[in-house]
Amino acid sequence: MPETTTAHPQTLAALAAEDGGTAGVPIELIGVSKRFGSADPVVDDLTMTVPAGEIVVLLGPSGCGKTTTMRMINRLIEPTSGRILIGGLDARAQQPDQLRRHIGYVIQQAGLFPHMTVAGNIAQVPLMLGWDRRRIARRVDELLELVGLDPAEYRDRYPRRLSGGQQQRVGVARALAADPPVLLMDEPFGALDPITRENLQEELLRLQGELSKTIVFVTHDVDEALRLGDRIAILGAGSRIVQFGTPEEILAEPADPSVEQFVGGGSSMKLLKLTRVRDVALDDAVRARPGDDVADLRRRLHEAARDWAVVLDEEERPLRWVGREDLAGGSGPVGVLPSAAGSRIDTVISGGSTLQEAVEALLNADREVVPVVGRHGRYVGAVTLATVRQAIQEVRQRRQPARHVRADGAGTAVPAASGGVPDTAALAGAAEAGAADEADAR
Amino acid sequence: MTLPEYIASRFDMLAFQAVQHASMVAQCLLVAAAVGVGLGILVHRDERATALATGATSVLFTIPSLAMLGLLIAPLGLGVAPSVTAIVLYALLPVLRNTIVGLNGVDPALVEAARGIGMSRSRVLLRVQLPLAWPVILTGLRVAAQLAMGIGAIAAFVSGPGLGDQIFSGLARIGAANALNATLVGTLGIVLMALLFDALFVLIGKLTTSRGIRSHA
Ligand SMILES: Nc1ncnc2c1ncn2[C@@H]1O[C@H](COP(=O)(O)OP(=O)(O)OP(=O)(O)O)[C@@H](O)[C@H]1O
Ligand SMILES: [Mg+2]
Repeated sequence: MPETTTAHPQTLAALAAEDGGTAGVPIELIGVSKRFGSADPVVDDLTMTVPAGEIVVLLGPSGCGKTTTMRMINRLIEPTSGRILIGGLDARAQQPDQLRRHIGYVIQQAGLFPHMTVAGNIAQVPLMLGWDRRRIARRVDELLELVGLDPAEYRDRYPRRLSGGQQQRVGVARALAADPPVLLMDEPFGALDPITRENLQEELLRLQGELSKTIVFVTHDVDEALRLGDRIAILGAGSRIVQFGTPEEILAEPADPSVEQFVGGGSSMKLLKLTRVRDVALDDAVRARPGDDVADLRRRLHEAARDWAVVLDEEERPLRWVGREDLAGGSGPVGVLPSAAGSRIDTVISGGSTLQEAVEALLNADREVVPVVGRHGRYVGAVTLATVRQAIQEVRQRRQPARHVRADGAGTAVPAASGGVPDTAALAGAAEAGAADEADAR
Repeated sequence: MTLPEYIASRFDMLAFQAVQHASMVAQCLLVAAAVGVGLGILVHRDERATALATGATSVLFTIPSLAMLGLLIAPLGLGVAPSVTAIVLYALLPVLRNTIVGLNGVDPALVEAARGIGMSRSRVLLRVQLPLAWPVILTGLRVAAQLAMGIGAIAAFVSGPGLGDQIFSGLARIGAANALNATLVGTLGIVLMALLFDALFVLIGKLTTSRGIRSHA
């Protein structure tokens, strides 16, 4: 778009056009307040920065002003005071309708227009931006693919002939239509059943991996917040920030007992959900090829003091487990052992899986070990219950010193110790521990 | 003379009166639709304005149409003017009321979603609210059409145009030759036209209501 290439872009529209729209831009709320009539302010002097390309989840009790905060960003509600900068540009200096066309907005129940087809719904913003028909049609199909709906099947359907999950996918596609740098999502998955909800969460993370938008996401669901948020803002009454940090920080170092209770801080199950397989030290099984000699493998198992080996194909993909007992008495290549020997590998997990998923896989597998695969299904290591226990203990240890500091500080008058700000020394310690773990894993 | 003979003997005049009747009703409906929908759009967001507008039209509605026509003679004289005025006034109420009900029946979340993706107020109205309220508004228009048809007949009382003339002149000389025929022709003609108008509205409804919000299929 040739409009404003010379000067600094003055509007989000110009900014979006300039860098192709794709990348996220930061959102800054500076001393923002909102008061409806004469009542207490619903949002009271909120200052917060949503970093570019991150998902920030607003989590807090009903009525604390999450929706109000979100609507002030796209100016559906005007702040009583304070400033909001999107990509460094003052939202108030821009024409609201223009501004909103470059801020994706997704609400609960999707809010699709029932009298328009799926394509018609998605096309609304491009129509307002004056795109030509062909460009719009192309974009609609592209977006449907992106959100996992077959364009040929779905583009001409009316919303009432879609499931709730499909409607929400279309809602996301509609919000992404003009490739906005910023996305506001107000409890988008709140009305969906747990399975659909998890699917869509997973899809959103995948999408975000491709698109790197700046996303503000409102939810009541702690698990959803922990799963999706790069950062979580826990809000209290008046949208006061009780704690703002990464899910790990919030779990490991809840700002106060109410947060701890709210997020179930430190509980093993939460940590399992939060920790990815790629972030823990993996076990490594003895590796074998179908062509390896049985006697030789037996010796290697003995030397490694292991009970089983993983058999890999030429592409390094895990085929099956063989144990010492399977090898006992056999001879010749491993590949010609009777098919009953060992167990075929049906379940593998990837580095992106959570430890919770790893535990599920372990519970369902007939060995107490599950292989981890990387690109192209290549074997990279294995997870056992011991691996998981070890990982959880390490996370626990990282938070231990921090807790002591806080307990000590509780009696003193130093606000930093009893307030939401974690002691710097404790933080540094935690960071060191984290770094050490990473080194171990490599 | 039998009824068919009566019709055959003055077919041209009857046809003329029927067309006159239909065209009067149609034109009055257009005016009532424009005013009723426009007024509905203006007032639907404000409770007090809504109460005022529907209240005023309801009061009009309670005045018997014959009395209304009589009252209109003073300012407007006889003929087309009082007839058309009365029809429009009566047709207004169902259109206005259904427009308000229809617009207020649109899910606020949809309006919010539309505003949220950057539609201006007028665009939200045109693209979202009116299309969604349309089936309800159309029902109002249908009711208005039936009303207009009937009041159109009574308009002959103030020498208005249309088939009402047959009914009134028939009734005036009841017992005389062809009096019954005239009354019957007028009445049946109006019933027939009312049915045709209704069918037309059903067709319009089919053609103009999105498949996404039609109640069946
Ligand atoms: N337009 C309005 N006029 C007056 N009060 C309002 C308005 N909008 C919101 N409020 C009030 O502001 C408070 C915060 O509302 P908001 O919708 O932001 O809460 P929320 O955190 O999104 O809650 P929930 O989790 O239930 O969606 C509520 O007490 C609500 O009643
Ligand atoms: Mg809300």
